[in-house]
Amino acid sequence: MKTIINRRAMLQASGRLVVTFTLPCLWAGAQATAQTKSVSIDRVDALLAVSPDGKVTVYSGKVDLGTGVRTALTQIVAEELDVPIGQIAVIEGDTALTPDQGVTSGSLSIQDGGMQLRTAAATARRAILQRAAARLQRDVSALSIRDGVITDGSGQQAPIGSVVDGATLALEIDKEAPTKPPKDYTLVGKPVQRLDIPDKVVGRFTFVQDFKLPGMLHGRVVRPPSFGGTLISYDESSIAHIPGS
Amino acid sequence: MPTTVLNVNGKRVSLTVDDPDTPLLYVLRNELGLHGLRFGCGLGQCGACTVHVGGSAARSCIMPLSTVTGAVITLEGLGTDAHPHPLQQAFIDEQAVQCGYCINGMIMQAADLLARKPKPSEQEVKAELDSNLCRCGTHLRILRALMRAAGG
Repeated sequence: MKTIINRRAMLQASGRLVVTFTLPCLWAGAQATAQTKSVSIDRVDALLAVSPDGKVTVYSGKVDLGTGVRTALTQIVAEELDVPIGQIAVIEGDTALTPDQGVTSGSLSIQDGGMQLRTAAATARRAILQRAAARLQRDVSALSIRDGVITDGSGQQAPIGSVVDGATLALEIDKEAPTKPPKDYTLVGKPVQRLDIPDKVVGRFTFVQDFKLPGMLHGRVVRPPSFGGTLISYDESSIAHIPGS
Repeated sequence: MPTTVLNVNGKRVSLTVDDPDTPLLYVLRNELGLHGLRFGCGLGQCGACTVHVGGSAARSCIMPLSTVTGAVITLEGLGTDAHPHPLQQAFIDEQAVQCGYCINGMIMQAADLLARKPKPSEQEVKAELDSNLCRCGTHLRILRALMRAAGG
């Protein structure tokens, strides 16, 4: 039997396929569910979460296509929040969890996505310090964050996870929130080891081609043998032996 | 369907594959879940699919399963977490990865070279990796990683 189908009909027949880039190395407890988590690009909690143990999760709509932006985005958040790089996990491109930051192209992930993260982190930093000031009964101007720990300079300390709860970062991003002066940078603009390389050299890294999802269907482009050729028909029986065809 | 027995990364595996001409690449990736090796060109020209078969580097995308007689080592089996292969550590030390798609082939081909010739010259390294393609342009770092692993 010979049949003609078009691409749209094939996609309709196969159902909607959603591929996510979520990596399996997530901090337990730092994940919000799709039902409760904001993905609105103007909100801090759409882009950042801090768990009680101080681990920070970055939700990035920009995805690392191999250029290293996961490391760079981590540097930006670590710098602005003053938490160690090792305390930060990044979830990329999971549309249920991450805000729509547009397509990842044109070398704009840092320029656009990075700046959105920077202002979100600056807003978060101010909110965390205000909350800590109330908790520690200190003036907010006396407090700073070093290596993920809020300190008042006279010995009083509190890890950021101990003062942040679910409401702390439920804020709109304030583009006027003070950002760290570049002269004080210790991570941004400095050489940092790429976070993805150790897994890549031992075959443990999950590239998009490695995803295997339940019920996943595969398609293949069959190109014409000559330039400008169009499909007239095909022999369906020739693929009848392939499971799922 | 015929059953094939392979030795992969030191383990004996028994597989039922309907077509003995199935390239080793698909068997390793799809049947055994080994994702270090990658499909690149499918023509044996880019090197992304390189594994060791019987101790030598081989392009698994054009190697029919029926022709595999020696033990197979993949990137996952080259070293261990406690004892990574010197090349794996050298690639980390030199940050010799951009996207990383070609790196399986670079390391597996290079491991074959270093097994044959522990102290290669830069020219010999370049010649060895001439048919391993990297579109990111990480070649100079890869070269440095090899020389580092070779103790040079």
